[in-house]
Amino acid sequence: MELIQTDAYRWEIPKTGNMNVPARIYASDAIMEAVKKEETFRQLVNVASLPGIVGRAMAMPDIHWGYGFPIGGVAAFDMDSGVISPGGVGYDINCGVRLAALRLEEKEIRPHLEDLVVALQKDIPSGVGTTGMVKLSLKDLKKVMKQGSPWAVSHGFGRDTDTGRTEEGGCMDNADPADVSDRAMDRGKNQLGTLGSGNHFMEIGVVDTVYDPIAARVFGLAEKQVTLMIHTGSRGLGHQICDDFLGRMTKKAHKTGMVLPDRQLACMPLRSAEAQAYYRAMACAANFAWANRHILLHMAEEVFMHTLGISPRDLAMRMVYDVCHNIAKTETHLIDGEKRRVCVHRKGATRAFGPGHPDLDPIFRDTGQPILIPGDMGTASYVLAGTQKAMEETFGSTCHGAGRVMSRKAAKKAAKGRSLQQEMEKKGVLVRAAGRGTMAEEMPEAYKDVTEVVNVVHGSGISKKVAKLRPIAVIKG
Amino acid sequence: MPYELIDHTADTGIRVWAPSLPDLFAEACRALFEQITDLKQIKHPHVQIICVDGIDRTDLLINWLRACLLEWTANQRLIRSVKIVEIRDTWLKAQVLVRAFDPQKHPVFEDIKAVTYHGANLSPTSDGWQAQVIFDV
Repeated sequence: MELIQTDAYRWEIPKTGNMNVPARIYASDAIMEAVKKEETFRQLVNVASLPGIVGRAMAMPDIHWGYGFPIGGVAAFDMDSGVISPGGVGYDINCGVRLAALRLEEKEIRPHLEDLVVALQKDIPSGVGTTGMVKLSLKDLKKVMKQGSPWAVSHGFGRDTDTGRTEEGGCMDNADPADVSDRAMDRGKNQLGTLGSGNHFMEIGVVDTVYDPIAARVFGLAEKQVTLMIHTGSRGLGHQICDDFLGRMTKKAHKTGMVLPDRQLACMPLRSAEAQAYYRAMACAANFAWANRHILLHMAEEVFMHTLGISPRDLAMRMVYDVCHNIAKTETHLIDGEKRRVCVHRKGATRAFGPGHPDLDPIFRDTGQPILIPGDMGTASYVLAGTQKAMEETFGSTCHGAGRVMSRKAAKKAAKGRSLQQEMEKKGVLVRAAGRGTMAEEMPEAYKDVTEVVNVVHGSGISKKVAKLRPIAVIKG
Repeated sequence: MPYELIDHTADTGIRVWAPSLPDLFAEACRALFEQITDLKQIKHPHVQIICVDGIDRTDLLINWLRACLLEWTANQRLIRSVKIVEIRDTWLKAQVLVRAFDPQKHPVFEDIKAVTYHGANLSPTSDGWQAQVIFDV
C-alpha cells in the first residue's frame, strides 16, 4: 500500500486494486508514526472499496482501529449507487458531546468541587447496569425515539432554546420506531437519563484559553468561565439496533452474493428496503441519544443549584452546543462543482459545517458550527468551529477526540500499583469512576495527545480553534 | 478447555480452543460470561433453550454469542453454563443455565456491549477447533 505525504497534514493512498476512490488521512508525522502500528489503513482501503463511495475515504487525526470502518472515518455514498453500513456508524449510534457554560468562575466552585462531584455521581446514574430516573412506557419510549430533544423539552427538561444549539435540532426526521426490534427497546427503555460506562463521562472544566474571541462570544464562552461537558450516547438501544441490522445485512449480502472484505462492513444499497429500515431505526437511536444528553444536562443543572445553593439565574447555565460523532446522514454537498445528495457516514468524526451553512441556527451563520472535542480526563478539551475548507474537503467533517493508543489491558497493566486518582488530583483534576478498572482503562496515557490531534485539524483548515478547556473534575461511568 | 484474552487497542477479545465444535461453542460462551461476572456466584439457575442459525460456522458462532449476550444486555440474566444439544454448520440448539442478575450477589467486571464480526474466525486444528472473537466494551 502506497502512502504519499502531500503536505504537513495530509497523506494520500492512491486508488489501486478494488478501491473505487483514493483515501486520505489527516495526520501529523507524530500521529502517523503511532497509527502505522495498526491495521487501520487496511480498514480505510476497505471503506474506499465499498460500492458508490464518492470523493475520498477519509480518516481524521484521531484515527484508530475500529470494527469494519476505522474510528475517525468519514465516507460519503451516492444515493443511487451507494450503500449504508451500520458498522460505518458504529454501535453507539449518536454517541456525542454536549457542552454548557456557567456564569461562575473556578474560584467560586473550587471550595465545593468535592461536594459537586459526589452529588453528581449520586444523582446521575452511571456505570454498568444502572437504570434512569425517567421510567418510560413503551408508548413513551416510541415518542422519545420519534421526537428526540423536543420530547425532553416538552416534559420539562432543559429549555427549548437549547434545541437550536443541538445538531439537527436534536431530532432527525424519518425516525420510525416500527423498524426498531423489541429487544432493542428492552435495552433502551430503562436507560434514558443514564450516563453509561466505558469512555462516557461528565467533566467540569474551565475556559483556559480563548483563541477566537469573536466566535467564543457567539458560542457563549469567556476565559475563566466554568463549563460542563457530557459525553454519552444511545446506550443499549443503539447497540442493539446496530447489532440487529449487522446480522440482517450479513444474511442478505450472503443471499445476494455481495462480496465484502470484512463482515463488519455489512451494508446494503441505499435504495433497498433494508437500508431504509436501518436509516429509520438509526434515527430513532440518534433521537434517543439527544433526549438522553438533554435530560442529563438538566439533571446536572439541578445538582449544581442544589449543591451550591444558588438560583438558576445565578448559575446561568447555557448550552454551547451538542454534537453527534457516530452517525450516517443524508446531506447536500458540492462535489466536482455539482450539488449532490449523499449519505455521509461519520464514525468517530464530527460534523463541521462552515459559516453560512443553511442547516445551522442563524446565530452560527458567521462563525460556523461549534465542534466539541473531548480529550482524555487529565489534559484538555477543545471547542472548534466548522470551516468552508471542511465543506470543500471532508463533507463538512472533522475529528471527534483524542483516540486511544493503548489497549484497555495494557492501560490496566501500566496503572498497576499507581493511584491514578492521586496523580490526577496533583494535576488539579478530581476524578471519580463508577466501574472497577474504568479509571485505569481511561488513564491519560491510553490516549493520543488531544492537542496534537486538534493542531492537525486546525492546521489543515478543516476546523478552527476557538477555545481550550482545562478539566477540574471528571465523573467516569 | 482453555481460552485466552486477546489484547486490542479499542476492545477485548477471546481466543478459544476445544476438542469438538459443541465444546468450542460452550467454551466461548463461558469465556464471554467470565468477562462479565464471577460464574461461581451464579447459583440456582434455571434451564433455557437457545436456537440460532448462521450463514456458515463463523457466522453461527457470532450469532450464538450474540444470543447469549442478549440474555445479559436485554434480559439482565447471566449464563452459568451451556450444553450444546445439537449443532450443524448453520444451525444449533443449546440448553443454557441462567439466573436473573442480582447486583447484591453478582459482581460486574466488564460491560460487554456487543459481539463483533471483526477478525472473527473459526477453524479446525490438528486436535480439534479454535476460534477468535472480538467484543465491543
